[in-house]
Amino acid sequence: MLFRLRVMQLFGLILLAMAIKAPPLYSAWWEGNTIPLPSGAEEVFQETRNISGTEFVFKYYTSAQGAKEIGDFFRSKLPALDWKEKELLKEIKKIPNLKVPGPVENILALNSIFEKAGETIIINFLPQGAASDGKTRFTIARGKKKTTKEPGKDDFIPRLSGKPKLDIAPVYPDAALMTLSENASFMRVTYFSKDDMGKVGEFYKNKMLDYGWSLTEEKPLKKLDSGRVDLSEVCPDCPKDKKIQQAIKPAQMVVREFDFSNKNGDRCIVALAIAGSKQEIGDKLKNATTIMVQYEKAGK
Amino acid sequence: MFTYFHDHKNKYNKGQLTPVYILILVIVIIMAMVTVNLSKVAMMKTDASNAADAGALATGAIMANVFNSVAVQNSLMMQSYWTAFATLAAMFSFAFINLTLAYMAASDALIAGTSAEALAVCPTSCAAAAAARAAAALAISAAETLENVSTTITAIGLYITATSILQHYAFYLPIRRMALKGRTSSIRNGHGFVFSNSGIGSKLIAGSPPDDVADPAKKNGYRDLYVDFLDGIGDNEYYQYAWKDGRKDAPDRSHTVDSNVHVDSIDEFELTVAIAPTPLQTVLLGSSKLLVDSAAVELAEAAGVYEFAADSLAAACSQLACCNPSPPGVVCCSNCAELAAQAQLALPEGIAGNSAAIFSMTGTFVLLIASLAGLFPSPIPFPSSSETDSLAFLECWIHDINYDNDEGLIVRIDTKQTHQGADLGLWKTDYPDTSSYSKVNFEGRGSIDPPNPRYGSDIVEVDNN
Repeated sequence: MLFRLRVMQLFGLILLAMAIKAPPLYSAWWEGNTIPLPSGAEEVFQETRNISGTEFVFKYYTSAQGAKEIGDFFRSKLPALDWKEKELLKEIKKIPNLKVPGPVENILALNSIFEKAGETIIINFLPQGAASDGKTRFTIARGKKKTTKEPGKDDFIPRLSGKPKLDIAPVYPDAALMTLSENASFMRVTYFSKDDMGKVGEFYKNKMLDYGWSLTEEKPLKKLDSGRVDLSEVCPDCPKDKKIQQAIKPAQMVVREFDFSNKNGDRCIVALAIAGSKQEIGDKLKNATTIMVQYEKAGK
Repeated sequence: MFTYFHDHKNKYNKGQLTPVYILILVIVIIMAMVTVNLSKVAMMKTDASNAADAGALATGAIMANVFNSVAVQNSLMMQSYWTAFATLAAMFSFAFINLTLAYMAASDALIAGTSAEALAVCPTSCAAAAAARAAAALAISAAETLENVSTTITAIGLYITATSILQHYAFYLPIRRMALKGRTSSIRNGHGFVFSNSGIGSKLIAGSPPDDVADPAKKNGYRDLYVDFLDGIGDNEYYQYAWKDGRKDAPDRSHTVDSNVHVDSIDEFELTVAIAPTPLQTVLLGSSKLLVDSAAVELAEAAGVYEFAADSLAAACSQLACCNPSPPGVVCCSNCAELAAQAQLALPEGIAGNSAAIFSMTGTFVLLIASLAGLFPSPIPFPSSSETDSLAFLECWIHDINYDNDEGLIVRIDTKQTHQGADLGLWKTDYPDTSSYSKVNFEGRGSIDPPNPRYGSDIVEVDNN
């Protein structure tokens, strides 16, 4: 009886500690498994995504603390938990004749990569000044390779785990889910397909009818040219080299847009895009089509 | 009666004040009629003021809602950019890690290849063979790593294109359309409130409308015409409702109510876009992939040369024993020298290819760094005044909506009422035009960037005359 009482007291204490966010009392339970967070960091959302053959859980945080303080926090805490930092910037800086532009250097200096027993943590920050509310936005991506097999080419597609809950539009066969946000009244989703744009376009023009949509407008093909690119304009600090400049070929982005509506007055836009050098696009409409489906319920 | 009074004026004192009374009565009646007239004018003024205030508040409230919706959607757009940036930053990290690994391996291969070249003589052929073998292994490893870099670069390019299309079609366009539609709706509602609060309803006389109304369904009164007018209000800045009096005694008396709703245009959005337009990103990434692929080929070829040199040097090494001590002219020893010389001839080709690969990798670093820098939000906003002018850019979020008014986010309503007077026989009424205006600010404490949906409407100025 007394033992049971003690256990309940202990349990109560742990619950209290969790309620008042007192980590020392309970953190030992999953220390090593969780990543310590700087005080005041608030998780905004999370998603699971494949990066280079590894499934990463991305957690997005905001904090009132500065990026450097947050970066320093992780650099001091994670090694104590046996995470080893990969010093990317230091390695890049060893490369002769390579000057990293200031803003990129700042980002690379803040971003950090840690590894432990086949697991990787990537911490990165949204560029300073990007968010005008003064808050620091950072992301912790944590992933573990599930197999020792080298990733295949398809594994490099930054595929998102899951699928849309709303069944309002067809999904192109074998298309990889790239981005998704939805609720009951809207859906925004992008896919990647290895098929050409014409085939994907025909699929949506036909299959959308099965979902009760009718095509209201097919916008003319838009071609966006890069024009001639002068590297010194984009990267003033980059070395001026003939070979690099010669490697730069003009590119084009081609976009198709289909507008659909249904009898409820809901609207759905399907946009398709490909991007590549003019040669690639001209030759075979490059077998790499991005598909975007945006659904909006009427009156929302 | 007056003659009787006149004849008997000395006889009777009564009724002497009657004319005065009559005069006073006339004055009182005139004053009463003036008062009635004035009160009617005052009522018209009140109606005009109510109409202006109600219209301005309705318009302002809708515009506040429009801006609040833009702010809410903008925070989602910002979040979408953040997601993309985090994913791309992670992908760039992988590309840089692998590129650095490949670079280190290729540099080590070059060192090993160069040392193999230096040692590629018979006496040191064993060490040279080991160095050439190491160079080959390192070059192959670098080439394999570069394949991963190449695929990662392709994936980065695809993801940037997807993000660009998503930000434009799923965020910017719907937000822009919603805002423009909201403004139209605010103007329409503003007019509706002006007319509904102008007292028109009470001024309309029920009964048959003028003969020129052809539609039999509309023959049941002026009010139907008025309702039709309200239904037909669009998004023009100015509307006028005019009607003739339905009274039988004054059938041609005309009335008008004017409504002028001014909401500044919100056609021009200021967008925060990524520094490099998407086609430029395609150029940078496509070119860096070209360099990586060519580096991988150069390294694979260099590895082949190193392997060949290593084989020759290993053969030389195996014959080295008979050269020690080396009596000149012994066959095996001359073979050793020949094999070493063969390797020495081949190695510069491998070293050249290896160096070229290293150079290509440096170029890849340059282009990838430029591409990463190109993803940063530009500090100079992009003014977008159509649905397509910003399509070439990766739109990060909406920085602001350009609003022409120097006073801020203001809605102004002006209204005027004109009512023709009536001829009442003895008295002809005449009413001056009455007008009023009202200004509403709908800024509240809201902002588009950072997104803060706290726009609210307040009357800031009214017509005090």
